[in-house]
Amino acid sequence: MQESNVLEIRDLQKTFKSGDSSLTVLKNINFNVEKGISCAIVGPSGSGKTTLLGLCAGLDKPTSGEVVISGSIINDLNEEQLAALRNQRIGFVFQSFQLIPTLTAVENVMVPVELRGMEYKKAYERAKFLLGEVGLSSRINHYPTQLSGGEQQRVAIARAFINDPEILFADEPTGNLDTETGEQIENILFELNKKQGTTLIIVTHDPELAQKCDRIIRLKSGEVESDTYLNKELATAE
Amino acid sequence: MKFFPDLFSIKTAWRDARNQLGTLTLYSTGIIAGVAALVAILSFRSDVFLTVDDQARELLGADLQIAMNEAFPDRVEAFVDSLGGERSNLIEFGSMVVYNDMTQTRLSQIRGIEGGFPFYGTIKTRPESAAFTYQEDGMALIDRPVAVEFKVEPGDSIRIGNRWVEVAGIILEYPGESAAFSLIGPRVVVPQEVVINNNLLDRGSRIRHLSYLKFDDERDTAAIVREARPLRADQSLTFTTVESRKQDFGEIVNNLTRFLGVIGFIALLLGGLGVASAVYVYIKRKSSIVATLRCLGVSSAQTTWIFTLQVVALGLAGALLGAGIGIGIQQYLPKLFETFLPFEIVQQISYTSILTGVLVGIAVSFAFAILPIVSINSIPPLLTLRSVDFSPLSNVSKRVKTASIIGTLLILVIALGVLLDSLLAATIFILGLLISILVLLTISAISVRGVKGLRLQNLSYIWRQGISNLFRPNNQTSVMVTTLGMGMLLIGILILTQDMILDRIEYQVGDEQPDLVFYDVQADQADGIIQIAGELGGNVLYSVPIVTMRLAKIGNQTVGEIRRDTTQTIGRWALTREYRVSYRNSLTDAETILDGEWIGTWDGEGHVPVSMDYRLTDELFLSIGDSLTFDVQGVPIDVYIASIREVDFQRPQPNFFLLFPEGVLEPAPQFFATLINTRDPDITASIQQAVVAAYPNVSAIDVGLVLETVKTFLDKIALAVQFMALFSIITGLIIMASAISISRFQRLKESALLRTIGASKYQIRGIQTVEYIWLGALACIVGLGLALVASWLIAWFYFDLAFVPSFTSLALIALAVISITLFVGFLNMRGVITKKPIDILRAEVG
Ligand SMILES: Nc1ncnc2c1ncn2[C@@H]1O[C@H](COP(=O)(O)OP(=O)(O)O)[C@@H](O)[C@H]1O
Ligand SMILES: [Mg+2]
Repeated sequence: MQESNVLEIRDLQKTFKSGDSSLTVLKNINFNVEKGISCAIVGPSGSGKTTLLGLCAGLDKPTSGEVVISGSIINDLNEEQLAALRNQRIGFVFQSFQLIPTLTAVENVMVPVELRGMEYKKAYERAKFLLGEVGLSSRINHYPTQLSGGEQQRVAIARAFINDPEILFADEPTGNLDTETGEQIENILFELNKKQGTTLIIVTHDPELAQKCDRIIRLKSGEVESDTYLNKELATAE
Repeated sequence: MKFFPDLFSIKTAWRDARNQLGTLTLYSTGIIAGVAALVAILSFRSDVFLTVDDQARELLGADLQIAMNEAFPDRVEAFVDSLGGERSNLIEFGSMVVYNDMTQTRLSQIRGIEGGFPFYGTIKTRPESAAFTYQEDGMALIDRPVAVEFKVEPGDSIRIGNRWVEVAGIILEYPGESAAFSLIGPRVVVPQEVVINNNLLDRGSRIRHLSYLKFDDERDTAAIVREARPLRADQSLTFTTVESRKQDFGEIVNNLTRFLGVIGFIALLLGGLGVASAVYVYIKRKSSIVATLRCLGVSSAQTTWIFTLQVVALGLAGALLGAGIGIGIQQYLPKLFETFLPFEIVQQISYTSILTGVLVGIAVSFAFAILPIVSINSIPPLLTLRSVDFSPLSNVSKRVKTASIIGTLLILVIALGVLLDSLLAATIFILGLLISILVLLTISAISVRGVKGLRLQNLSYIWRQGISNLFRPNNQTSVMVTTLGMGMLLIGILILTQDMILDRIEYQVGDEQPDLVFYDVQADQADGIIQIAGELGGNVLYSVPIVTMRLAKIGNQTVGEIRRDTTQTIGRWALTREYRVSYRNSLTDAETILDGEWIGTWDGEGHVPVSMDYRLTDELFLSIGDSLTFDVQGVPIDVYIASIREVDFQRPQPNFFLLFPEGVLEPAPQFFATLINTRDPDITASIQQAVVAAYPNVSAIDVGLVLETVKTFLDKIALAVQFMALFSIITGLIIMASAISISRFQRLKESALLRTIGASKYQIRGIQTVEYIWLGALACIVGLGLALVASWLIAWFYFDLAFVPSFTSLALIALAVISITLFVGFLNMRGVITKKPIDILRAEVG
């Protein structure tokens, strides 16, 4: 069973200190995420979802506890090693898209593989293909300011998938979008997740989106309130 | 727009500005360097004038100076005598001096003083008492540089002519003369009797006779000068009063500071350009706020006032900061000009200079902000509903644009007019400068766009991202390239032309080049010198006779008549100068006959056929066949223009405007000039020593030494100009720093994002490096490229030279500027890399 876990969280705790006062945002977090599933993290605003996501993705360091990605403990990695890990194994989709304004759509998508030194032509072909997958083959040379919010998020998704990540983290990916566009984005996410076998971890407060996932982890005041499997097969396996 | 802002505008201006004061001041920093330069120069100028006013009489050393290039004739002597007062006489001339022992000789400026000169101020010497005792003791005062070079101390001896004189002291300061005077040749002060009866005054080169007068009664010296006018009609006689010396000096200082002020003004204009660009970016960012205000019913006059107030306040802040720095720089400016100033500068804070600098600074920054401010009116309230990438300027009507630009130019002309004291000069200058800035901007924009096209696929990611960063939204790349480029253009032109001039006069070693020149050689000494030179290994290139004469008549009119005749426009110089003339029977290869026929010997009958250079015939309005009379030391000789030549004065041989044929001047009193090629400094030194030992009256010029001196002199001047041009570069860097700071948040976000995606520190730093290197490189290409073109034009039109640029100098400047650009860039980006990527998730901060 161990080997099929792509992410393991053990006794995670996160405390923010500012001056004398300290605020514990996460405590006693324990869970494993199986390879290839889609998992929603839900909870009211301020419950610590973004903080948890940041810790899982190695964007921040926990106060105590361990994060294990594909069998390796990332706590002790330095920032450079973490950067390399993110580049090779992790993809991100943000609420506010986060495209680089000085690059065209296709160039934005290429960035992660180019950082790894992939040849321009290969990277370009792959980025073009992925933009086609998200339905933007006619907009590849447009700059972010020339794209609508939904289109920008599709570019961001293409960028997240270009390095075949083992885990894709999405923080409120539809939060800045209207329902209809949001739905399109969700569909694209799940489709690519299926096609590429990527593990999907989505932070959301949209119950409808959560219901589409295989599993829902509910946070409340920094603790796991409930952990439900919606996918029967997985539930029995547990 | 109403003439005064209403209370609402003022309040809103403040409320809008208060929580972004730091960022706002960044917008105005561009003018700091320019204002600093102006305030420093203006203060320095006022310091100099203050000192001049304070020490005007010390500048001349007396109340009146009377000078002539020959001993005073009786009428002049009688006139000077009639004036009364205390009198001191000087004889000044160049002569070889032996310092300490025969191996140390140098052509020196001898001043034989009789009487109490200087009446005001003193010759400052070491020991101090020497200046007061040398006359009585019959000793000498010598210049400090030569004393240091030849290790001469008080108590040692020097030889002038054929007399050894003991050194009483070392000259530290000489009234009315700057340290640069020593560059011409070491100054040697002796009692006048040392130079009289010493065979020294019988020479071909110029001797100046001066009388200094001091009046105890408050005499009107200007009236004396007017009274003496008839005496001066056809002679080299000049009168200098304290007032006229002060005016002459003031004019030099005015020209110098005006020139430097203009260079400072260029820095200010570039800064203004930076301010305009920053204000435009600012207003663009404020578009949505303006649109909201308009929706709420705020009038367009009010929105305009809100931002005008902010801009003017910012201009004031930048100008004040610049003025503060300028006051600091003011203290160091005298160091730069030390060599050229005849006194120590009294420093004072000059409020008018500071006020002028600040006002000009505000005016310039406001002038440049007019167009961006006008564009506020074009921001539509509709912007609140649809947020698009809105460019305010593109909505401004052509008429309004033209009017704004004219307004900008008017303010600039007035501001510069105040500095230059002339609106016409200011207009011409501003137009010229504007054209150059436009050319620079265009070339910058073109090359920046060219680089955009350069985002080639085969470049690595780091390179492409670095280059595309130059085009981030609201970038100020073109303006940065323009300002940095202008600074480099100025410095580039300066260095290139300086190199070119130095190259031209560079000591050329070769068989044809003289290394050693002897003059004042008497007729019976010429052969002796040729013999000495031959024995010691020198090669005598030329030994030519020189006869001095003056023009007495053109046709039948005497020079005096011509000068009184107001319809004639011949310059005084051509009429009254002492002509140095040679005679021979053939032409050299430096001479080409343009008109008439060269006649090499005079048959002894009628007028003498002479040849003149075309520049002199133009000056005197003469043509072939015209007759003239020359006064050859008392003997009138009638001549006519037989031929007009073009003389190439750049050739190394001695050249003459006026050339006589053989058979006329042989019996006249004459001197020889001997040019010797040695190709070896040791041989030069030994020949010079031997000749000076044998013939104390002969003057020697070591060509290598003279060129070295010229070089020193040019270097010193160039330093001052470069110092000012540096302000333009500093302005460029400041604009760059503020542009980076303004886009700092965006840069932070980008690099955090890249970190999130997995970029290493090395990659992020690489991207930044590429961006700044390109910025510096573009400025280099634009600035130095134009400098090359400009220098080539200067070489072509002014110096008539083939232009061979010195690429090492250019490469060095380029390297320096790129490094500084990198340095400033990284300085401004501190902390960007260490920012935690988690912050990207909390993007609301934006
Ligand atoms: N850097 C920080 N310093 C202090 N408190 C923080 C910091 N980051 C987040 N928090 C706090 O942690 C809590 C959880 O925040 P977050 O993870 O963003 O919640 P969610 O994403 O679930 O809305 C909030 O109360 C927030 O104020
Ligand atoms: Mg959140």
